[in-house]
Amino acid sequence: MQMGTMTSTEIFKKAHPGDRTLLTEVESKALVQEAGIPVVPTHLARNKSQAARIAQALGLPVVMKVVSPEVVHKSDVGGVKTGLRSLRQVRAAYDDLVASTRKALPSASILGVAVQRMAPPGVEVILGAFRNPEFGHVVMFGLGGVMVEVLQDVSLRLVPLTRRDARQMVREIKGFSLLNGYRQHPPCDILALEEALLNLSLFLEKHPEVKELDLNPVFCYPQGILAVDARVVLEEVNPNT
Amino acid sequence: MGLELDSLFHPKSIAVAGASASPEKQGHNYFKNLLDSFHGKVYPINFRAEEVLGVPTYKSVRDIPENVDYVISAIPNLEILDLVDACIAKKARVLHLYTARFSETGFERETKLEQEVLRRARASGMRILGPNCMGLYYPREGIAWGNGFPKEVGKVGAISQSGGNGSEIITGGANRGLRFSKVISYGNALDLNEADLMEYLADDPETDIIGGYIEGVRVGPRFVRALRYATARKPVALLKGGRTQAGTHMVSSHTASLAGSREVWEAMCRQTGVINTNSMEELVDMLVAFSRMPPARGFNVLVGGGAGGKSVLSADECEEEGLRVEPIPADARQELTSRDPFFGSWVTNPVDGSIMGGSRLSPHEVVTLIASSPAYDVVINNITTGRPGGGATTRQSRTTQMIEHTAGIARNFSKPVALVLPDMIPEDEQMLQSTQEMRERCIKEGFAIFPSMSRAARAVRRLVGYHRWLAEAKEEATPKAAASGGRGPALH
Repeated sequence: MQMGTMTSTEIFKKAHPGDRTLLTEVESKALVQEAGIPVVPTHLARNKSQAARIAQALGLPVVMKVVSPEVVHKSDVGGVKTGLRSLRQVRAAYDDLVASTRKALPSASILGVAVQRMAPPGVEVILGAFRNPEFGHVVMFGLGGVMVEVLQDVSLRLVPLTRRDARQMVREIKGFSLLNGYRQHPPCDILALEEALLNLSLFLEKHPEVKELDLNPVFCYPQGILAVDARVVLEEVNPNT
Repeated sequence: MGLELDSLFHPKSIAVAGASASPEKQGHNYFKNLLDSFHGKVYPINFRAEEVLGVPTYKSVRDIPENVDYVISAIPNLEILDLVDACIAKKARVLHLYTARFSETGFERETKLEQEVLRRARASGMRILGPNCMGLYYPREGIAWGNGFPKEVGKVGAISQSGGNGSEIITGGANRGLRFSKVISYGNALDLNEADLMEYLADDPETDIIGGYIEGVRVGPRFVRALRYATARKPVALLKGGRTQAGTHMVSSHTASLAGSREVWEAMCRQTGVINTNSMEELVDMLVAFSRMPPARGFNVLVGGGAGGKSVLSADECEEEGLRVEPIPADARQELTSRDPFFGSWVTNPVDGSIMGGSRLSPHEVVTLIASSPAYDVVINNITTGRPGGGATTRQSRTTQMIEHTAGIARNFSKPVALVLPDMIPEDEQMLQSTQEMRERCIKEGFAIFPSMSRAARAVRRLVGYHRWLAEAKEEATPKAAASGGRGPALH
């Protein structure tokens, strides 16, 4: 079975002719992988038997998510299923995901379903990037979930980042002690996070066409980190230029 | 990097288009100030009046018999293109446009006019300062836009997008003893922009400290590069106007919606080592701190000169601003008790001067003695003005004593000393006078004066922060550290 990933050049080329700016999760993850940030291997299944084959190759349990350029927040359309422990569940999940997305957003074109191994839980963080009209690309770091959404506890730096910038970014957020170990919880791999931020900065330097990027969540472990979802938005190409 | 601009600001001749006899007009101020102080030739241009302030006018820049280096425009925007052409014909290096109502109106016609000015200037090589700005204050050359600006030369350079705020930096700073190398108000930044001017001040040997008031950034990435270049050489303190303006672009992701322009600006300042201030007062405070205090090693502060509740609050405010009010170390304590067993073991940091009555030690002696300890990086002293009793002579001798001790601490221990002298309502005329005298003497002595403890503490914290940033940046710039900045396994 062909499970090779696309290179960034292929992804950008494929997205641009149709003036498509929101990359799919599979495409986004391939880019993130190429940037040197650890990411859960994720593959596109175009039908349920393909989904089952991918799940078998990756190993159960798996997570499945609908792949559609029109769907911005997959969980809003019932497009995510986690903890699928058998191939029978995988096949059924394929049909369910497609059906619920069709129902929630009839206009959405569904390319298939992304299948990924279910990552062991870790401390959730978010790594992101966006383009500021005055200064260009900005990298963002914060704790995932409530911390980022409600408390807006994030740190920012302009691209390019220095090692000191990365070090400060991780330590600057108020919730840093959640990463640095508390009570019985061992500290997360802070260096791996810093490395990911530096790699993200290098990636953005090379790819000015990236408008926004979200890695949300990224799981942090005592050893290593793993991005489990990725979303990349490209700049619109002006046909006049 | 930026010194190529230097020749622009050393004109041998200046023409003022719109030089007016009417003192309410800015064209009058420009001309009068130049007439009073500028060392080169000054030409008034006015097509109605025959003479201004006794100087015969020219109807147009074209009528000036020689070439002219620098032209200030205080005429309406309708006549601007003709002036631009005339300046080009007279080989002017710079046209400063006090003239306003261009792109800042948001109107199409005015924006187009501005672009045409730029097009003609670029084609000829003439530079434009502004439009919509007060221009240049350069005391060494005798150029000033404000009537009351100091004539003496100093080491503070500043750029300001707003002329009014530029004036406030100058007059507010002057009031606290600052003197300037040059202050450039640059308005719409049509040609000369924030990055050009920052590069210039960074390389300018006449400037040791840079301040700035910025609204919109024209060339973000170049400005960031200019700031990195500048902060590696001299301290830079900036104030950003329009910080709270929401981003105008559409955003769909978490990341973008979480970061407004204020947060991005703050991040930029952290990365470049710029001291980011939040008000005109804070900006001037930083220029005072950098001008009048040597580098401080750390955040440990000795607080002196307060009485009772004031010293308690002073300690709180220092801690809240991020300084550490460290207890008196054992050796200094021993020295104190050997000099006066009772007060020596009672006194603490903050030093409460009011408990010292009847002691063999004066509050100033106590502060000086403790300040000698390496446990303290910086000293902040409250200046007591409101103590009742004592005539003018007592007050005067108290002032002299305070100044001598403060100068001694700064001189003998090479430690930064900040003085807090609140703007207060005096009890009587005599006290107003003595406070004013004290203030003036402190400024003359070269002390950094702040109107409140929390402002002093904040400025000290930022002063230390800049010098620490600089040390770290130098460390990081060593080849060993630079090699670890990329992809691949972490190098520790």
